[in-house]
Amino acid sequence: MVDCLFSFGLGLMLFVGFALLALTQFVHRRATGTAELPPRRATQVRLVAILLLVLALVIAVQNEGGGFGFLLWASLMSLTACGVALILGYRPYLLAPVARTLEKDLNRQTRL
Amino acid sequence: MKQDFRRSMGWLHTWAGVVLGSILFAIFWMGTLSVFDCEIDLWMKPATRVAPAHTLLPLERFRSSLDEAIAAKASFWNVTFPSDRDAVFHTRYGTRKKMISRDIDPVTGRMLPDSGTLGATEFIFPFHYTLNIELMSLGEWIVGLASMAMLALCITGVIIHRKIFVDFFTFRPHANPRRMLLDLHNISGVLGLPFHIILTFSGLVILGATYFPAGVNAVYPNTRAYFFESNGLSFLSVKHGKPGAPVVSLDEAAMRARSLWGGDDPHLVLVANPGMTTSRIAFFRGSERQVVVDRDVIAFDGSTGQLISRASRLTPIMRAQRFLSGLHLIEFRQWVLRWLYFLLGLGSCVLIATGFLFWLESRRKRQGTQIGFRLVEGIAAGSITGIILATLAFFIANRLLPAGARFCGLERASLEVSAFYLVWLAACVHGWLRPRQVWIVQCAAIGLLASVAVVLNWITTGDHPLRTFFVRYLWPVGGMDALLLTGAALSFLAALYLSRRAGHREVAIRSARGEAI
Repeated sequence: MVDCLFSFGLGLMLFVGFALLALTQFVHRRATGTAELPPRRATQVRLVAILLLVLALVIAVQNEGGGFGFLLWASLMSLTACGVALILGYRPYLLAPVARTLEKDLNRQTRL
Repeated sequence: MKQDFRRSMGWLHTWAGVVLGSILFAIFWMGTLSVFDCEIDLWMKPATRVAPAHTLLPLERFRSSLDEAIAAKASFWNVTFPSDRDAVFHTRYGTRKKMISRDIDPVTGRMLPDSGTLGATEFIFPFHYTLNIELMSLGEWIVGLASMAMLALCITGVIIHRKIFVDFFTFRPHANPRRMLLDLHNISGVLGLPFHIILTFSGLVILGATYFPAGVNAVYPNTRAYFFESNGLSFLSVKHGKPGAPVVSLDEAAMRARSLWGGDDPHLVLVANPGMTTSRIAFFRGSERQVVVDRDVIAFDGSTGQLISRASRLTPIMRAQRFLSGLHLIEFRQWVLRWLYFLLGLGSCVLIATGFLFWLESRRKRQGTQIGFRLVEGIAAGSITGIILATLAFFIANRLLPAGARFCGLERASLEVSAFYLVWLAACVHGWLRPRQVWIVQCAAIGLLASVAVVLNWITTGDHPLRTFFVRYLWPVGGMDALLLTGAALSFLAALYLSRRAGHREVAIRSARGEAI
């Protein structure tokens, strides 16, 4: 049970990472009904996404050991990335709140 | 130059896929099922559906089986211990003529009735790497060739994918069928790329001594010597000896092996040359807690109980090889990873199937009536939906054939395998004869057969889905039933979608004709 919860958490982390990566692309922003991000903002979001993916690897290896940790991370990466692609294909509006959050932060920064 | 290179890679990708796609689908499909081979065994062998024992039986309880092997002049005898995936003991011995396997109740030590099936461990798993072609190891060589082709397909696929990063998450389910198939092929290929490459490469590494014998031949006198040394089996290099020697207490030897391992339990006990003066008792440690397959074999003299050998520590190269073997064979105890492997294996099947379907859709208008196209369509149907139907026929035959059934000199287990091959052949012929309806009919047939398999399991064993989900040791059976029902629902949906699409197409053609008139 603990294993399942840990893997679920890890999967969620990777899912968010891939969702952020996808939501920096114009075609997916259009699908979620949000405007394109400026290049600088897109780079920042991509960096955060990559950080999440790397952090997931570190946590997996630390918790499960080198062998199992790496396998778990690699397998979950493929699966969660597929999950993001399928959601964007069938139900893109589910990711719209995440896409809007990226914009909101941007608006706040602009105001400041 | 760049364009020419990409075009030539595209040619290689297309034709390697079309020519070897059927074999690759069979390998990946059977490999995916092998992830749950013990669970499928439990479904196919109802007699082994027993509650696990809290304590292990003493090995001396199997003495009568060992004596039977000695009387039959067996060359070896072994016992496999229960694990969290398989609750029963298995004894096995081999004579020159045949192999005798038995399942033993872990609580009472009684022999369980013979299920008369090869199950997944003896049919589906070997099919994965031999295609059941044993003649001159031809099957292994074909699998090796297909695996090399798979690696080439992965690399050429990346090269010919023009917008790999732009289309990384692109899937357009509502686009035209050709576009949707290509998107599905791309996302299952690109996002599952680490799985496809690592699993294919590790498969080649496992059978590396067969495919690349030069390295082994340079160091060892023959492959057997390499096999013995690399697996810690050097104690087997003994002469046959004289008969009449007793075998010492197995439990005492097991206790010594456990103390040498610091308390770890053995996974398998082997007695080589039982009853001979040169007999050997070997204990193979379980390696469920790590990816690396490191059995650490300890061997004793069978007649004196003297310690003979212990497998040496793995060298870094061997450790790397065993890591790759381990991640492919998944003998470890990690349920989450097992399910992930299963899902990713299905992803590989989707990759191969969509590749085939895209090839067909791209050429249907121009070459739809040509014999070559129809041949590929028949083979594609046979190798995609056909092998799934054949597997379901294998399960249904298992539930329908009575115990001890014989027909035309074939035993029950062989009859199940015959059902598999007959249905597979019929699916290929159907694909060739009825190309227009093949996908609709075969998808509906998959749905029907999968549902029938669940119902038959219920009728013949009394283990219906509600019961299996509430009894812990029946979860694997419940899991298999649930997967069969899920597969059935998806297949019926696919059949419905395809028949609606065919209906719309027909209406469009008729109205176009009407307008023309």
